[in-house]
Amino acid sequence: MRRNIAAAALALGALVLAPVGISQAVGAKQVKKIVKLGDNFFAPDSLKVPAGSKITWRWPKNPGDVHDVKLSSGPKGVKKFHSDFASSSYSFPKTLTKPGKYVVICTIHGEMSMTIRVTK
Amino acid sequence: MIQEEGQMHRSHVWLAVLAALLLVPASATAGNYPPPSDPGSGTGKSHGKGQTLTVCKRGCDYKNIQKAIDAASGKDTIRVKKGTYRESVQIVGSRYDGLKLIGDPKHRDRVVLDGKSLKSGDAQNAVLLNNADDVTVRGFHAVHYKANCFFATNLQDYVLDQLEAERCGVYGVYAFNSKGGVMSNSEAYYNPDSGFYVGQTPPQKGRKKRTLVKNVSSWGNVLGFSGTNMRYTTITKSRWFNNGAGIVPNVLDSEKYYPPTGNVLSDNDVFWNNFNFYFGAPFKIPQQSAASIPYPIGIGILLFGSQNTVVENNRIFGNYLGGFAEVPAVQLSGNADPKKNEASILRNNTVRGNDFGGGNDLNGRDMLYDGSGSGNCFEGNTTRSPNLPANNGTFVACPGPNPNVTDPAVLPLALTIGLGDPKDPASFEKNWIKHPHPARKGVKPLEHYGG
Repeated sequence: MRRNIAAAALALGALVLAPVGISQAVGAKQVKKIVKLGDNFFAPDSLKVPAGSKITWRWPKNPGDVHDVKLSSGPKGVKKFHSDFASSSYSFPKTLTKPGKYVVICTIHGEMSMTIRVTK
Repeated sequence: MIQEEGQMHRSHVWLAVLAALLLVPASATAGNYPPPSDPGSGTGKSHGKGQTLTVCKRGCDYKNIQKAIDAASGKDTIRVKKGTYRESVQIVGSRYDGLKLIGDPKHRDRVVLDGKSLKSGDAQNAVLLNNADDVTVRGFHAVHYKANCFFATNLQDYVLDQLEAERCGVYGVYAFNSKGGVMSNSEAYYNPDSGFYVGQTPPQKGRKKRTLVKNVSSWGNVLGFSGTNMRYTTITKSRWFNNGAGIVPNVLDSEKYYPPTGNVLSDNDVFWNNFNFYFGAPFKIPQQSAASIPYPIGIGILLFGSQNTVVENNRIFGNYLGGFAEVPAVQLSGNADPKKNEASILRNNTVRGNDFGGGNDLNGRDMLYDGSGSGNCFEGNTTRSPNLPANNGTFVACPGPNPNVTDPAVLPLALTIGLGDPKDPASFEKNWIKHPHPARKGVKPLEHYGG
Protein backbone atom coordinates (compact mmCIF):
# COMPACT_ATOMS: atom_id res chain seq x y z
CA MET A 1 0.00 0.00 0.00
CA ARG A 2 2.68 2.39 0.90
CA ARG A 3 4.27 1.49 -2.35
CA ASN A 4 0.97 2.20 -4.08
CA ILE A 5 0.61 5.49 -2.25
CA ALA A 6 4.16 6.22 -3.01
CA ALA A 7 3.65 5.21 -6.61
CA ALA A 8 0.46 7.29 -6.79
CA ALA A 9 2.25 10.23 -5.27
CA LEU A 10 5.06 9.87 -7.75
CA ALA A 11 2.60 9.55 -10.56
CA LEU A 12 0.69 12.60 -9.39
CA GLY A 13 3.90 14.48 -8.90
CA ALA A 14 5.00 13.49 -12.33
CA LEU A 15 1.70 14.69 -13.79
CA VAL A 16 1.91 18.00 -11.97
CA LEU A 17 5.53 18.56 -12.71
CA ALA A 18 5.64 17.09 -16.15
CA PRO A 19 5.40 20.32 -18.18
CA VAL A 20 8.05 21.95 -16.09
CA GLY A 21 10.20 18.90 -16.20
CA ILE A 22 9.97 18.65 -19.97
CA SER A 23 10.74 22.32 -20.38
CA GLN A 24 13.70 22.06 -18.09
CA ALA A 25 14.93 19.03 -19.95
CA VAL A 26 14.78 20.90 -23.28
CA GLY A 27 16.37 23.99 -21.75
CA ALA A 28 19.19 21.93 -20.41
CA LYS A 29 19.95 20.62 -23.90
CA GLN A 30 20.12 24.00 -25.56
CA VAL A 31 23.55 25.50 -25.53
CA LYS A 32 25.28 28.77 -26.21
CA LYS A 33 28.33 28.65 -28.42
CA ILE A 34 30.84 31.28 -29.42
CA VAL A 35 32.46 31.14 -32.85
CA LYS A 36 35.52 33.34 -33.24
CA LEU A 37 36.39 34.99 -36.53
CA GLY A 38 39.94 35.64 -37.59
CA ASP A 39 42.07 36.03 -40.72
CA ASN A 40 40.81 33.87 -42.40
CA PHE A 41 38.96 31.33 -40.32
CA PHE A 42 36.03 30.45 -38.13
CA ALA A 43 36.95 28.76 -34.87
CA PRO A 44 35.57 26.23 -34.44
CA ASP A 45 34.71 25.50 -38.06
CA SER A 46 32.20 22.78 -37.21
CA LEU A 47 29.61 22.48 -34.47
CA LYS A 48 26.87 20.06 -33.44
CA VAL A 49 24.20 21.59 -31.25
CA PRO A 50 20.62 20.87 -30.23
CA ALA A 51 17.78 22.86 -31.76
CA GLY A 52 17.22 26.18 -30.04
CA SER A 53 20.88 26.77 -29.36
CA LYS A 54 22.31 30.23 -29.64
CA ILE A 55 25.41 30.76 -31.75
CA THR A 56 27.30 34.02 -31.43
CA TRP A 57 29.94 34.89 -34.00
CA ARG A 58 32.48 37.16 -32.43
CA TRP A 59 34.98 39.37 -34.23
CA PRO A 60 38.31 40.14 -32.54
CA LYS A 61 38.83 43.21 -30.41
CA ASN A 62 41.79 44.32 -32.46
CA PRO A 63 41.30 45.05 -36.13
CA GLY A 64 41.86 42.35 -38.66
CA ASP A 65 40.53 42.02 -42.16
CA VAL A 66 36.89 42.62 -42.98
CA HIS A 67 34.63 39.58 -42.63
CA ASP A 68 30.94 38.83 -42.65
CA VAL A 69 28.77 35.90 -41.65
CA LYS A 70 26.24 34.67 -44.17
CA LEU A 71 24.04 31.59 -44.16
CA SER A 72 24.96 29.97 -47.45
CA SER A 73 22.65 26.98 -47.10
CA GLY A 74 20.40 25.63 -44.38
CA PRO A 75 17.44 23.37 -43.73
CA LYS A 76 14.46 23.85 -46.01
CA GLY A 77 12.45 26.89 -45.06
CA VAL A 78 15.00 28.44 -42.73
CA LYS A 79 15.36 32.19 -43.09
CA LYS A 80 18.74 33.27 -44.47
CA PHE A 81 20.83 35.59 -42.32
CA HIS A 82 23.70 37.91 -43.07
CA SER A 83 25.72 40.00 -40.63
CA ASP A 84 27.30 43.37 -41.19
CA PHE A 85 30.70 43.53 -42.84
CA ALA A 86 32.89 44.07 -39.81
CA SER A 87 36.47 44.15 -38.69
CA SER A 88 36.50 44.34 -34.90
CA SER A 89 34.45 44.75 -31.75
CA TYR A 90 31.34 43.25 -33.25
CA SER A 91 29.27 40.16 -32.57
CA PHE A 92 26.39 38.53 -34.39
CA PRO A 93 24.06 36.20 -32.44
CA LYS A 94 21.59 33.75 -34.00
CA THR A 95 19.37 31.14 -32.40
CA LEU A 96 19.07 28.08 -34.64
CA THR A 97 15.72 26.38 -34.12
CA LYS A 98 15.37 24.19 -37.18
CA PRO A 99 17.24 20.86 -37.22
CA GLY A 100 19.53 20.24 -40.15
CA LYS A 101 22.82 21.28 -41.68
CA TYR A 102 23.79 24.95 -41.81
CA VAL A 103 26.69 26.13 -43.94
CA VAL A 104 28.00 29.55 -42.99
CA ILE A 105 30.51 31.51 -45.05
CA CYS A 106 32.38 34.77 -45.19
CA THR A 107 31.50 36.22 -48.56
CA ILE A 108 34.84 37.98 -48.85
CA HIS A 109 37.15 35.09 -48.06
CA GLY A 110 36.27 31.91 -49.90
CA GLU A 111 38.33 29.77 -47.58
CA MET A 112 36.21 30.83 -44.60
CA SER A 113 33.41 28.35 -44.23
CA MET A 114 31.88 26.45 -41.34
CA THR A 115 29.21 23.82 -40.79
CA ILE A 116 26.70 23.60 -37.97
CA ARG A 117 24.62 20.46 -37.48
CA VAL A 118 21.48 21.21 -35.50
CA THR A 119 19.90 18.13 -33.94
CA LYS A 120 16.33 17.64 -32.66
CA MET B 1 43.69 67.51 -46.06
CA ILE B 2 47.25 67.32 -47.12
CA GLN B 3 49.80 65.77 -44.87
CA GLU B 4 51.68 68.32 -42.82
CA GLU B 5 54.25 66.68 -40.65
CA GLY B 6 55.97 63.42 -40.36
CA GLN B 7 53.77 62.13 -38.05
CA MET B 8 49.73 54.20 -41.43
CA HIS B 9 47.15 45.74 -42.70
CA ARG B 10 47.82 43.53 -43.47
CA SER B 11 48.08 42.45 -46.77
CA HIS B 12 50.93 40.61 -45.32
CA VAL B 13 52.66 38.24 -47.47
CA TRP B 14 56.36 38.07 -47.11
CA LEU B 15 58.12 36.41 -44.22
CA ALA B 16 56.55 33.01 -44.22
CA VAL B 17 56.75 33.20 -47.94
CA LEU B 18 60.45 32.77 -47.61
CA ALA B 19 59.93 29.98 -45.14
CA ALA B 20 57.44 28.43 -47.48
CA LEU B 21 59.81 28.80 -50.34
CA LEU B 22 62.66 27.27 -48.50
CA LEU B 23 61.03 24.77 -46.23
CA VAL B 24 57.51 23.77 -47.04
CA PRO B 25 56.35 22.01 -50.12
CA ALA B 26 53.34 23.94 -51.30
CA SER B 27 50.13 22.02 -51.15
CA ALA B 28 46.69 22.63 -52.40
CA THR B 29 44.36 24.07 -49.86
CA ALA B 30 41.30 21.93 -49.77
CA GLY B 31 37.98 23.64 -49.55
CA ASN B 32 34.73 24.05 -51.34
CA TYR B 33 34.58 27.66 -52.29
CA PRO B 34 31.14 29.15 -52.26
CA PRO B 35 30.04 30.34 -55.65
CA PRO B 36 30.95 33.97 -56.17
CA SER B 37 28.17 36.47 -56.10
CA ASP B 38 28.12 37.82 -59.62
CA PRO B 39 27.71 41.56 -59.64
CA GLY B 40 25.80 41.25 -62.89
CA SER B 41 26.28 41.63 -66.56
CA GLY B 42 25.45 45.31 -66.83
CA THR B 43 22.31 47.25 -66.31
CA GLY B 44 23.55 50.45 -67.85
CA LYS B 45 22.65 53.82 -66.47
CA SER B 46 19.47 54.57 -64.71
CA HIS B 47 17.18 56.83 -66.63
CA GLY B 48 14.49 59.29 -65.75
CA LYS B 49 14.25 62.00 -63.16
CA GLY B 50 14.01 61.27 -59.52
CA GLN B 51 13.43 63.47 -56.56
CA THR B 52 16.03 65.34 -54.56
CA LEU B 53 16.01 64.69 -50.85
CA THR B 54 17.90 66.94 -48.49
CA VAL B 55 19.60 66.10 -45.22
CA CYS B 56 20.77 68.56 -42.59
CA LYS B 57 20.39 69.27 -38.93
CA ARG B 58 17.54 71.78 -39.36
CA GLY B 59 15.16 72.67 -42.15
CA CYS B 60 15.75 69.75 -44.51
CA ASP B 61 13.69 66.72 -45.44
CA TYR B 62 15.71 64.51 -43.10
CA LYS B 63 18.12 64.91 -40.21
CA ASN B 64 19.72 61.56 -40.80
CA ILE B 65 21.30 60.28 -44.03
CA GLN B 66 20.09 56.70 -43.67
CA LYS B 67 16.49 57.81 -43.26
CA ALA B 68 16.76 59.71 -46.52
CA ILE B 69 18.20 56.62 -48.19
CA ASP B 70 15.41 54.47 -46.77
CA ALA B 71 12.93 56.85 -48.38
CA ALA B 72 14.79 57.05 -51.70
CA SER B 73 14.96 54.98 -54.83
CA GLY B 74 17.53 54.70 -57.54
CA LYS B 75 16.60 57.76 -59.55
CA ASP B 76 16.94 60.06 -56.60
CA THR B 77 19.63 62.40 -55.46
CA ILE B 78 20.31 62.86 -51.78
CA ARG B 79 22.06 66.09 -50.90
CA VAL B 80 23.68 66.18 -47.51
CA LYS B 81 24.49 69.61 -46.14
CA LYS B 82 27.40 70.49 -43.94
CA GLY B 83 27.66 68.94 -40.53
CA THR B 84 28.97 65.92 -38.70
CA TYR B 85 26.84 62.81 -39.04
CA ARG B 86 27.39 59.97 -36.58
CA GLU B 87 25.90 57.03 -38.42
CA SER B 88 26.65 54.18 -40.77
CA VAL B 89 25.15 54.62 -44.21
CA GLN B 90 24.04 51.51 -46.09
CA ILE B 91 22.90 51.49 -49.71
CA VAL B 92 21.94 47.88 -50.31
CA GLY B 93 19.98 46.36 -53.15
CA SER B 94 19.05 47.04 -56.75
CA ARG B 95 16.28 49.46 -55.81
CA TYR B 96 19.10 51.97 -55.40
CA ASP B 97 20.59 51.53 -58.88
CA GLY B 98 21.59 55.00 -60.05
CA LEU B 99 21.32 56.75 -56.67
CA LYS B 100 23.47 59.78 -56.04
CA LEU B 101 24.61 60.61 -52.52
CA ILE B 102 26.18 64.04 -52.60
CA GLY B 103 27.86 65.92 -49.78
CA ASP B 104 30.02 68.94 -50.59
CA PRO B 105 32.36 68.09 -53.46
CA LYS B 106 34.23 71.36 -53.18
CA HIS B 107 34.64 71.19 -49.42
CA ARG B 108 34.42 67.53 -48.43
CA ASP B 109 35.69 68.37 -44.95
CA ARG B 110 32.39 70.10 -44.27
CA VAL B 111 30.32 66.92 -44.52
CA VAL B 112 31.79 64.48 -42.04
CA LEU B 113 30.82 60.92 -41.21
CA ASP B 114 32.31 60.13 -37.81
CA GLY B 115 32.16 56.61 -36.40
CA LYS B 116 33.92 57.27 -33.14
CA SER B 117 30.93 57.14 -30.79
CA LEU B 118 29.08 54.40 -32.65
CA LYS B 119 28.65 50.81 -31.47
CA SER B 120 28.57 47.36 -33.01
CA GLY B 121 27.45 47.20 -36.64
CA ASP B 122 26.95 50.94 -36.92
CA ALA B 123 30.61 51.49 -36.11
CA GLN B 124 31.97 49.36 -38.96
CA ASN B 125 31.59 51.18 -42.29
CA ALA B 126 30.90 54.83 -42.98
CA VAL B 127 29.28 54.09 -46.35
CA LEU B 128 28.50 50.60 -47.63
CA LEU B 129 27.32 49.99 -51.20
CA ASN B 130 26.20 46.42 -51.80
CA ASN B 131 24.37 45.05 -54.84
CA ALA B 132 23.45 48.51 -56.07
CA ASP B 133 24.80 49.52 -59.49
CA ASP B 134 25.74 52.91 -60.87
CA VAL B 135 25.71 54.60 -57.46
CA THR B 136 27.64 57.82 -56.90
CA VAL B 137 29.04 58.90 -53.55
CA ARG B 138 30.71 62.29 -53.69
CA GLY B 139 31.95 64.92 -51.28
CA PHE B 140 32.34 63.29 -47.85
CA HIS B 141 35.00 62.92 -45.21
CA ALA B 142 34.79 59.67 -43.22
CA VAL B 143 36.79 59.06 -40.08
CA HIS B 144 37.07 56.58 -37.21
CA TYR B 145 35.09 53.61 -38.50
CA LYS B 146 36.24 50.17 -37.35
CA ALA B 147 36.22 48.48 -40.75
CA ASN B 148 36.20 50.72 -43.82
CA CYS B 149 35.56 54.32 -44.63
CA PHE B 150 33.94 53.72 -48.06
CA PHE B 151 33.12 50.14 -49.13
CA ALA B 152 31.60 49.03 -52.45
CA THR B 153 30.91 45.33 -53.07
CA ASN B 154 29.00 43.04 -55.43
CA LEU B 155 28.14 45.78 -57.87
CA GLN B 156 29.26 47.63 -60.94
CA ASP B 157 29.86 51.12 -62.22
CA TYR B 158 30.28 52.81 -58.87
CA VAL B 159 31.62 56.36 -58.61
CA LEU B 160 33.51 57.24 -55.45
CA ASP B 161 34.61 60.83 -55.95
CA GLN B 162 35.87 63.70 -53.82
CA LEU B 163 36.17 61.58 -50.72
CA GLU B 164 38.49 61.74 -47.76
CA ALA B 165 39.12 58.50 -45.89
CA GLU B 166 40.89 58.88 -42.56
CA ARG B 167 41.77 56.45 -39.78
CA CYS B 168 39.35 53.65 -40.58
CA GLY B 169 40.08 50.17 -39.25
CA VAL B 170 41.09 48.42 -42.47
CA TYR B 171 40.69 50.20 -45.81
CA GLY B 172 40.07 53.79 -46.74
CA VAL B 173 38.29 53.35 -50.09
CA TYR B 174 37.54 49.70 -50.81
CA ALA B 175 35.96 48.01 -53.85
CA PHE B 176 35.51 44.23 -53.83
CA ASN B 177 33.98 41.73 -56.24
CA SER B 178 32.83 44.50 -58.51
CA LYS B 179 32.96 45.30 -62.21
CA GLY B 180 33.90 48.75 -63.39
CA GLY B 181 33.98 51.84 -61.25
CA VAL B 182 35.78 55.05 -60.53
CA MET B 183 37.75 56.21 -57.53
CA SER B 184 38.80 59.79 -58.18
CA ASN B 185 39.86 63.12 -56.71
CA SER B 186 40.13 61.60 -53.25
CA GLU B 187 42.57 61.19 -50.40
CA ALA B 188 43.18 58.38 -47.91
CA TYR B 189 45.47 58.41 -44.92
CA TYR B 190 46.23 56.61 -41.69
CA ASN B 191 44.46 53.37 -42.61
CA PRO B 192 46.08 50.17 -41.31
CA ASP B 193 45.71 48.15 -44.48
CA SER B 194 45.60 50.25 -47.60
CA GLY B 195 44.35 53.69 -48.45
CA PHE B 196 42.73 52.41 -51.66
CA TYR B 197 41.89 48.83 -52.62
CA VAL B 198 40.41 47.11 -55.64
CA GLY B 199 40.21 43.34 -55.41
CA GLN B 200 38.60 40.07 -56.42
CA THR B 201 37.53 41.48 -59.73
CA PRO B 202 35.32 38.95 -61.54
CA PRO B 203 36.76 37.79 -64.86
CA GLN B 204 34.95 39.17 -67.88
CA LYS B 205 34.70 37.93 -71.44
CA GLY B 206 34.86 40.20 -74.44
CA ARG B 207 35.15 43.90 -73.85
CA LYS B 208 36.07 44.49 -70.24
CA LYS B 209 34.53 47.03 -67.91
CA ARG B 210 37.55 48.77 -66.47
CA THR B 211 38.02 50.39 -63.10
CA LEU B 212 39.70 53.79 -62.99
CA VAL B 213 41.65 55.15 -60.05
CA LYS B 214 42.60 58.71 -60.91
CA ASN B 215 43.90 61.79 -59.18
CA VAL B 216 43.99 60.37 -55.69
CA SER B 217 46.50 60.80 -52.88
CA SER B 218 47.32 58.03 -50.48
CA TRP B 219 49.79 58.46 -47.66
CA GLY B 220 50.45 57.31 -44.12
CA ASN B 221 48.86 53.89 -44.71
CA VAL B 222 50.46 50.45 -44.45
CA LEU B 223 49.99 50.23 -48.22
CA GLY B 224 49.06 53.11 -50.44
CA PHE B 225 47.16 50.80 -52.79
CA SER B 226 46.45 47.10 -52.48
CA GLY B 227 44.96 45.05 -55.30
CA THR B 228 44.44 41.43 -54.35
CA ASN B 229 43.43 39.53 -57.50
CA MET B 230 42.59 42.86 -59.13
CA ARG B 231 41.72 42.96 -62.84
CA TYR B 232 41.16 45.53 -65.53
CA THR B 233 42.14 48.47 -63.38
CA THR B 234 43.98 51.62 -64.41
CA ILE B 235 45.72 53.59 -61.70
CA THR B 236 46.86 56.96 -62.99
CA LYS B 237 47.80 60.54 -62.25
CA SER B 238 47.89 59.87 -58.52
CA ARG B 239 50.29 60.30 -55.65
CA TRP B 240 51.44 57.40 -53.48
CA PHE B 241 53.81 58.52 -50.76
CA ASN B 242 54.82 58.03 -47.15
CA ASN B 243 53.21 54.57 -46.98
CA GLY B 244 54.94 51.36 -45.95
CA ALA B 245 54.77 50.42 -49.62
CA GLY B 246 53.22 52.40 -52.45
CA ILE B 247 51.22 50.30 -54.95
CA VAL B 248 50.95 46.54 -54.47
CA PRO B 249 48.90 44.39 -56.86
CA ASN B 250 49.06 40.93 -55.30
CA VAL B 251 47.92 37.32 -55.43
CA LEU B 252 46.19 35.63 -52.51
CA ASP B 253 44.25 32.41 -52.67
CA SER B 254 42.11 33.53 -49.75
CA GLU B 255 40.16 35.56 -52.29
CA LYS B 256 38.83 34.47 -55.68
CA TYR B 257 39.81 35.20 -59.25
CA TYR B 258 43.58 35.10 -58.96
CA PRO B 259 45.85 36.27 -60.45
CA PRO B 260 45.77 40.04 -60.87
CA THR B 261 45.73 40.74 -64.59
CA GLY B 262 45.05 43.39 -67.17
CA ASN B 263 46.09 46.31 -64.98
CA VAL B 264 47.81 49.55 -65.91
CA LEU B 265 49.84 51.72 -63.52
CA SER B 266 50.60 54.88 -65.42
CA ASP B 267 51.75 58.45 -64.81
CA ASN B 268 51.83 58.26 -61.02
CA ASP B 269 54.17 59.83 -58.50
CA VAL B 270 55.38 57.07 -56.20
CA PHE B 271 57.79 58.35 -53.61
CA TRP B 272 59.06 58.21 -50.05
CA ASN B 273 57.26 54.99 -49.18
CA ASN B 274 59.41 54.39 -46.14
CA PHE B 275 56.84 54.59 -43.33
CA ASN B 276 57.95 52.05 -40.76
CA PHE B 277 54.65 51.88 -38.89
CA TYR B 278 56.00 49.17 -36.60
CA PHE B 279 57.79 51.91 -34.70
CA GLY B 280 54.47 53.58 -34.02
CA ALA B 281 51.40 54.58 -35.93
CA PRO B 282 48.20 56.56 -35.58
CA PHE B 283 46.26 53.31 -35.82
CA LYS B 284 46.27 49.85 -34.30
CA ILE B 285 48.51 47.52 -36.21
CA PRO B 286 46.49 44.41 -37.02
CA GLN B 287 47.58 41.30 -35.23
CA GLN B 288 49.46 38.90 -37.38
CA SER B 289 47.85 35.58 -38.05
CA ALA B 290 49.96 32.50 -38.57
CA ALA B 291 49.31 32.67 -42.29
CA SER B 292 50.07 36.32 -42.73
CA ILE B 293 53.35 37.80 -43.67
CA PRO B 294 54.37 41.43 -43.39
CA TYR B 295 55.18 43.16 -46.63
CA PRO B 296 58.53 44.83 -47.00
CA ILE B 297 58.72 48.49 -46.08
CA GLY B 298 60.44 51.03 -48.26
CA ILE B 299 59.23 50.05 -51.71
CA GLY B 300 57.43 52.08 -54.35
CA ILE B 301 55.67 49.57 -56.62
CA LEU B 302 55.59 45.84 -55.89
CA LEU B 303 54.00 43.37 -58.27
CA PHE B 304 53.58 40.37 -56.00
CA GLY B 305 52.45 38.08 -58.76
CA SER B 306 50.83 39.73 -61.78
CA GLN B 307 50.03 39.04 -65.41
CA ASN B 308 49.41 41.27 -68.42
CA THR B 309 50.19 44.37 -66.41
CA VAL B 310 51.75 47.57 -67.69
CA VAL B 311 53.79 49.86 -65.45
CA GLU B 312 54.64 52.93 -67.47
CA ASN B 313 55.64 56.54 -67.26
CA ASN B 314 55.64 56.71 -63.50
CA ARG B 315 57.96 58.85 -61.45
CA ILE B 316 59.38 56.64 -58.73
CA PHE B 317 61.83 58.14 -56.28
CA GLY B 318 63.07 58.25 -52.71
CA ASN B 319 62.01 54.70 -51.74
CA TYR B 320 64.78 53.30 -49.56
CA LEU B 321 64.40 49.57 -50.22
CA GLY B 322 63.60 49.85 -53.89
CA GLY B 323 61.62 51.69 -56.52
CA PHE B 324 60.03 48.78 -58.38
CA ALA B 325 60.00 45.04 -57.76
CA GLU B 326 58.37 42.23 -59.69
CA VAL B 327 58.23 39.01 -57.66
CA PRO B 328 56.36 35.75 -58.22
CA ALA B 329 53.74 34.89 -55.61
CA VAL B 330 56.02 32.37 -54.06
CA GLN B 331 53.55 31.14 -51.46
CA LEU B 332 51.67 29.53 -54.37
CA SER B 333 54.67 28.49 -56.46
CA GLY B 334 54.65 24.76 -57.09
CA ASN B 335 51.16 24.41 -55.62
CA ALA B 336 49.50 21.09 -56.41
CA ASP B 337 46.51 22.99 -57.70
CA PRO B 338 47.61 24.00 -61.21
CA LYS B 339 45.47 27.16 -61.15
CA LYS B 340 47.19 28.37 -58.02
CA ASN B 341 50.59 27.52 -59.38
CA GLU B 342 49.81 29.37 -62.58
CA ALA B 343 48.59 32.38 -60.61
CA SER B 344 51.96 32.64 -58.91
CA ILE B 345 53.82 33.15 -62.18
CA LEU B 346 54.75 36.51 -63.65
CA ARG B 347 53.61 36.73 -67.26
CA ASN B 348 53.54 39.40 -69.91
CA ASN B 349 54.25 42.34 -67.65
CA THR B 350 55.70 45.43 -69.30
CA VAL B 351 57.73 48.04 -67.42
CA ARG B 352 58.53 51.00 -69.62
CA GLY B 353 59.20 54.69 -69.62
CA ASN B 354 59.45 55.04 -65.87
CA ASP B 355 61.75 57.58 -64.32
CA PHE B 356 63.57 56.31 -61.26
CA GLY B 357 65.27 58.57 -58.75
CA GLY B 358 64.57 61.80 -60.58
CA GLY B 359 64.96 65.19 -58.93
CA ASN B 360 68.10 64.00 -57.23
CA ASP B 361 65.93 61.83 -54.96
CA LEU B 362 67.38 58.38 -55.39
CA ASN B 363 65.78 55.05 -54.59
CA GLY B 364 67.81 52.53 -52.61
CA ARG B 365 67.60 50.29 -55.65
CA ASP B 366 65.67 51.10 -58.80
CA MET B 367 64.36 47.84 -60.25
CA LEU B 368 64.29 44.25 -59.02
CA TYR B 369 63.25 41.22 -61.06
CA ASP B 370 64.40 37.60 -60.83
CA GLY B 371 63.75 36.79 -64.48
CA SER B 372 61.07 34.19 -63.77
CA GLY B 373 57.93 33.64 -65.83
CA SER B 374 57.43 34.59 -69.43
CA GLY B 375 56.86 37.60 -71.62
CA ASN B 376 58.07 40.09 -69.04
CA CYS B 377 60.00 43.04 -70.45
CA PHE B 378 61.56 46.40 -69.73
CA GLU B 379 62.17 49.33 -72.05
CA GLY B 380 62.86 53.03 -71.90
CA ASN B 381 63.23 53.26 -68.14
CA THR B 382 65.59 55.86 -66.71
CA THR B 383 67.47 54.46 -63.74
CA ARG B 384 69.97 56.17 -61.45
CA SER B 385 70.58 53.57 -58.74
CA PRO B 386 71.72 49.97 -59.05
CA ASN B 387 69.21 47.31 -60.00
CA LEU B 388 68.92 43.79 -58.71
CA PRO B 389 70.50 41.90 -60.32
CA ALA B 390 73.25 44.45 -60.71
CA ASN B 391 74.25 43.05 -64.12
CA ASN B 392 70.76 43.87 -65.43
CA GLY B 393 70.62 40.41 -66.95
CA THR B 394 66.92 39.92 -66.29
CA PHE B 395 65.77 43.29 -67.62
CA VAL B 396 65.21 42.27 -71.21
CA ALA B 397 63.73 44.38 -73.98
CA CYS B 398 60.17 44.10 -75.24
CA PRO B 399 58.58 41.91 -76.34
CA GLY B 400 59.64 39.67 -73.49
CA PRO B 401 60.87 36.18 -74.27
CA ASN B 402 59.02 32.98 -73.52
CA PRO B 403 60.30 31.98 -71.09
CA ASN B 404 62.29 34.75 -69.47
CA VAL B 405 65.71 33.79 -68.22
CA THR B 406 65.83 33.33 -64.47
CA ASP B 407 68.72 34.42 -62.34
CA PRO B 408 68.43 31.95 -59.46
CA ALA B 409 70.33 34.17 -57.05
CA VAL B 410 67.87 37.05 -57.18
CA LEU B 411 64.67 35.74 -55.59
CA PRO B 412 66.23 34.42 -52.37
CA LEU B 413 68.16 37.65 -52.06
CA ALA B 414 65.06 39.74 -52.75
CA LEU B 415 63.05 37.92 -50.13
CA THR B 416 65.87 38.25 -47.66
CA ILE B 417 66.30 41.97 -48.04
CA GLY B 418 62.55 42.48 -47.80
CA LEU B 419 62.19 40.51 -44.62
CA GLY B 420 61.48 42.00 -41.27
CA ASP B 421 60.16 41.00 -37.89
CA PRO B 422 57.31 43.16 -36.59
CA LYS B 423 58.67 42.66 -33.07
CA ASP B 424 61.93 44.20 -34.22
CA PRO B 425 60.90 47.24 -36.27
CA ALA B 426 64.48 48.14 -37.10
CA SER B 427 64.79 44.85 -38.96
CA PHE B 428 62.67 46.30 -41.77
CA GLU B 429 65.28 48.95 -42.33
CA LYS B 430 68.46 46.92 -42.23
CA ASN B 431 68.67 46.68 -46.02
CA TRP B 432 67.55 50.20 -46.78
CA ILE B 433 69.88 52.33 -48.80
CA LYS B 434 69.03 55.81 -47.68
CA HIS B 435 69.55 59.00 -49.58
CA PRO B 436 68.52 62.49 -48.48
CA HIS B 437 65.28 63.77 -49.98
CA PRO B 438 65.25 67.21 -51.57
CA ALA B 439 62.47 69.36 -50.09
CA ARG B 440 59.09 68.93 -51.68
CA LYS B 441 56.39 71.54 -51.39
CA GLY B 442 53.55 70.62 -49.08
CA VAL B 443 54.90 67.24 -48.06
CA LYS B 444 57.38 66.08 -45.46
CA PRO B 445 58.85 62.62 -45.22
CA LEU B 446 57.17 60.18 -42.85
CA GLU B 447 59.42 57.39 -41.65
CA HIS B 448 58.67 57.14 -37.96
CA TYR B 449 55.36 58.43 -36.70
CA GLY B 450 55.87 61.34 -34.40
CA GLY B 451 59.54 61.20 -35.12
